[in-house]
Amino acid sequence: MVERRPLLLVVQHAVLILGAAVFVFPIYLAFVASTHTAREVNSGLPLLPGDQMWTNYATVLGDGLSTAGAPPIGLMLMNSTIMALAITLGKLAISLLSSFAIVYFRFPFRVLAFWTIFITLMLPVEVRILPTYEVVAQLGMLNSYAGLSIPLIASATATFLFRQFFMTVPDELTEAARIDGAGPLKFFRDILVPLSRTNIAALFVILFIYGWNQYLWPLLVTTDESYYTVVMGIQRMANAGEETPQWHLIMSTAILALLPPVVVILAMQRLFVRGLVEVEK
Amino acid sequence: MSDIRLSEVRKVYPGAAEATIPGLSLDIGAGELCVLVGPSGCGKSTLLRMVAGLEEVTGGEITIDGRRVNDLEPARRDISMVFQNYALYPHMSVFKNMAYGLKNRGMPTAEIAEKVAVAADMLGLTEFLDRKPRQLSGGQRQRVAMGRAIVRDPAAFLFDEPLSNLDAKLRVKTRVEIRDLQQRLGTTSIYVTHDQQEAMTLADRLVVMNAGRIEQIGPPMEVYAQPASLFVAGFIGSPPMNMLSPGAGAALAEAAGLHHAAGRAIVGVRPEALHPEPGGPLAVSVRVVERLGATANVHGLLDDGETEVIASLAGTELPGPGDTLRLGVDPAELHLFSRTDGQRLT
Repeated sequence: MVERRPLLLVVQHAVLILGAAVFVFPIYLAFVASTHTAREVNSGLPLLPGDQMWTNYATVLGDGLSTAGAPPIGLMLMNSTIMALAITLGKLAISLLSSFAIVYFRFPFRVLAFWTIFITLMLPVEVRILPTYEVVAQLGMLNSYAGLSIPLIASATATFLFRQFFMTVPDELTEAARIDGAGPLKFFRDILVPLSRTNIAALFVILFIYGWNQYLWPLLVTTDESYYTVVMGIQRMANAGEETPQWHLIMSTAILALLPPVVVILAMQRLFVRGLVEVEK
Repeated sequence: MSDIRLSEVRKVYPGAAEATIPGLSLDIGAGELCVLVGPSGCGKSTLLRMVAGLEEVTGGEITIDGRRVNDLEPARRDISMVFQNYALYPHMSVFKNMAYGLKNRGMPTAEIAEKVAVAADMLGLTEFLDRKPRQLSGGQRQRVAMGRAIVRDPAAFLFDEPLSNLDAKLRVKTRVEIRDLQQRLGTTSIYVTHDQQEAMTLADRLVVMNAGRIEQIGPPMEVYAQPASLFVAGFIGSPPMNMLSPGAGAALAEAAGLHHAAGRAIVGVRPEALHPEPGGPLAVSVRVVERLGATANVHGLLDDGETEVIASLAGTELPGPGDTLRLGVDPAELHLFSRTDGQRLT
């Protein structure tokens, strides 16, 4: 594998650079578009950044695109963050607890409970969107943070992953904790959760991005502008009725919407890279 | 100091046709180190785990210090346990590993620090208190596991094959340390192992188990010198005792003057009891010689061509493969066992 042949090295780098370029180019274009005036963007997109960056970003951050029916982006970013965090933390809490129950307690219909959770993996949000909407509407949770996040919290994926991890924790550890006088919840808090740290970090990133990227659901449950999220906001800007979409501002918004997930990934990176490749035992 | 009593303890796993332990009674005196030894699957670990409270007791009664513990949680039995893989909490420092049990009992922080410091000092762990278990060697981890057991100052220590994960040299060293520590603390201990050498060297009293039953209880040397059954004779001692069928052992029994047994009982003789003797009753054709330094194990076949015999001989003048060796034995060193049930004949 570690052959040192110059030609091979060139080919390897070429492939990697090409791959990276294919991924980065659209983002680069979005950035370029966000630094020009509307006219420049609409008359054929230049390939180099322009000088309108501060004006554009200041506009979206401060005023929003009132003509396109979107509130200031700062509010939408905050709404998105609240929703994504609520979904992430809720999913983590619920799935940690439910997999703890499934792995460590013998109760009737335990296997059935696990498989029921597991089967919901096969139902994406979109499939159950009508009944879910009905329930949320009946509960009066439309246009609220609760309505945005709670229906998305139940998570089979995270429960499944934590179950698999808990099953690799040696039984002796549980027994040692029992002898040390740790009851079930103490064992959970003092031993299982700290041991799951890397898994939690990895899932945090994945779930945060999942929550952040929600599009259809926020679109359905919010009609009040003050609860709009940034991902659906972009869509509203682009479908701005009769007017020409203001692409330079839309692209500024898109770039800004990219930042929070990047921040989360960078913050968790050290932990989650380790979480995905190595289990500390 | 507290004693441990097991009376008619039974264990049947749900769904199992046969009992793992069909009913076993054992009294362990205060301050005694009692070793349960036997092949894997003989129920010794199950028994220990029942004393610890990690395994439910199907029937019978277990008392620790006169208190019935059958239905008590492990934490309330006043015992501590050392596991085969140590079961240290990987995310806690050595200090926290040792302090966790005390903390859960609501001991004041200052007292915990003091107790951990004393235990760490006793085990030479003081400089490692801030490390995580993964930064320690196998021997150090083993000592942390010991430390976790002794800080609590329990009524009894339970050891579940605590040396199995160490290399041979460290195992011998740690064995001595465990014995020394147990004697200094005087804590009643049950120690489970499948290693007969470990069992012999550690035990005040040896309990040899087979298929959920006790084959023999006694001080190690007594078990070695007077094995109660063929099973014990074959299990205790290394290399194992030679077992001669009534036919093959007849000459030996005759030579020892045991005419009533000759041809009727199984004759057992320890390899170290055999010695070269011109015209001796056993003629062995040598196949392999294992030199161990001070002694050598000579493996050979009797003249019936199928009975294998091992003789442990001292000295430097050893036979080579193909030689015929004549061996004799002191009559007192012969063990006679019943052909039907394998019990010792006196």
